[in-house]
Amino acid sequence: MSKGICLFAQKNDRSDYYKQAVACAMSIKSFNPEEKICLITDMKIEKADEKYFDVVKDIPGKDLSTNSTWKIENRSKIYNTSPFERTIVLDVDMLVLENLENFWTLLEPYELFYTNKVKTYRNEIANDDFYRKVFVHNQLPNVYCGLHYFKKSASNEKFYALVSDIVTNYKEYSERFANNFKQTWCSMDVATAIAIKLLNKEHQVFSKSNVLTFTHMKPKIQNWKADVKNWTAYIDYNFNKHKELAVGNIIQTGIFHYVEDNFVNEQLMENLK
Amino acid sequence: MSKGVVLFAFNNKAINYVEQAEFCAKKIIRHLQLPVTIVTSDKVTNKDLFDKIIVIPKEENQTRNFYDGDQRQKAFWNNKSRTSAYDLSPYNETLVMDTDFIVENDLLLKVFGKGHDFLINHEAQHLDFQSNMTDEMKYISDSGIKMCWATVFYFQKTDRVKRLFTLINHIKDHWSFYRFRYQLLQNTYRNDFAFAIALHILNGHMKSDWPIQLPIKLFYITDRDKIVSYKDNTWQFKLQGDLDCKIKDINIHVMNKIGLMKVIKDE
Repeated sequence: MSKGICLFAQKNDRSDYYKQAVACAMSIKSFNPEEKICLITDMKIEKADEKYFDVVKDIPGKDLSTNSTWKIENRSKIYNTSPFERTIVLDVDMLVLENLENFWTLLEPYELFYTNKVKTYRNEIANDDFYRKVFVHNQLPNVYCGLHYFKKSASNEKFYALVSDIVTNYKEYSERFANNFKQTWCSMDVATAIAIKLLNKEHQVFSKSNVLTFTHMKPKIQNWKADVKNWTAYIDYNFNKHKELAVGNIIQTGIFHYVEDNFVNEQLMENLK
Repeated sequence: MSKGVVLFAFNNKAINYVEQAEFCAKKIIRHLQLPVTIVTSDKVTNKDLFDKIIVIPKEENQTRNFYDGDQRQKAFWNNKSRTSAYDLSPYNETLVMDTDFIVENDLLLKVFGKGHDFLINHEAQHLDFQSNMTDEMKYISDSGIKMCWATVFYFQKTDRVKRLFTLINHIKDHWSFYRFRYQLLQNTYRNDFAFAIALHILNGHMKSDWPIQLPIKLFYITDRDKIVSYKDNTWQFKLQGDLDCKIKDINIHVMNKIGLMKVIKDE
């Protein structure tokens, strides 16, 4: 059965998703040279970067994000676009810092998997309530699409069809299922959480262990007392030639979601080579 | 295998650490029945309390404030020789403790003969369970690594522990660099921080399950909490925020050293 990692990058005015996707793919290939990577994008791949992607696919169908600046709506198409039978999906603003064989093994029993708890850079499970009010107040499952996994199956076909419908008709779904604390813009996390709740899949898609997770660098979940807006300005970090990332003198492992665009600079790209 | 306790005591104008060590030694002998070695540069009056008296020079190069509730005294703080514990200890298995750590039970005997080479607490608990102090001291700084309490620790003389002490001494000798590297705000050298940094480095800059914690909860009061009385192993405190607290047969780290001196004098 084929397996691989899907990345999604749609051009927008806010972030350089192309550069981030290349950095992410480079980090995957560093620790997992045999891993197959598919990039779903509307951007042209530069000749020098082609070697990091095994498959490049256009974003299919009608653009669902014409009225959005964040451009995430088309991510609901990843399921149908993925060329793999088993797919791990990662956000492009992530670095993979270890071999993923353990992830594949642990994900094998799941038909569909989502992360529902994330870690701080100090390797502690984060209290993420600050950013998750819409989930807390609406009793939605605490879904992070940043790292998720699916197998191609009839059941998942229906699940992702519902996610697409929620994304397309976000306002209606939000008013009906996330009315206690409203988020006016559509996020994949909220849309997916509504789908999981509607299909009563909470007991199937999450792991009780703390292994299938990632480090999330949003500043308010790091257990800092200081009111930090940008973690990259608050704490020392270094990514060296040996592809070791230290944040606050702590070596990072697993999957690292750096969140802030300025984290990817020329030096990091050079050290990823 | 020889077992024992090592205490470091260097008097300053605010605190008579040797007297504290004598009080501490009496408690150790009573509850743990272990020999006690004192490392000092000062005169020891009650020599009979100690198995060995090791004299080393005093390093008077940093000061700190010593509080008794609101009262403050500034004096030299001679805390740097603790890093020599590995070289100075005459025992194969050693417990090192602050002279203001008061042993009131035999729980610490559980450290011996278990095959551990090093045991130390990463957590401490203020007697006022609602105090913010415990939370604030979880890490060595706001963005820093996990805290470590050198108040009490246990070690065996092994290669790994020797490397650990070599590293701690290196950190002490290059304190200004490590203080900057680990985002520590205060200038003063502190053993808790040096031990935490050394363990972090020795564990490959990652979270690790070595060393595990001592088999005791490290209860403490700060120097802003007052000692009301001490009698028959029962301590009575007036904690910050006017909270009355009474404990019996519980090991306690009495950071209010000036208050502790008054208790010792009354004894």
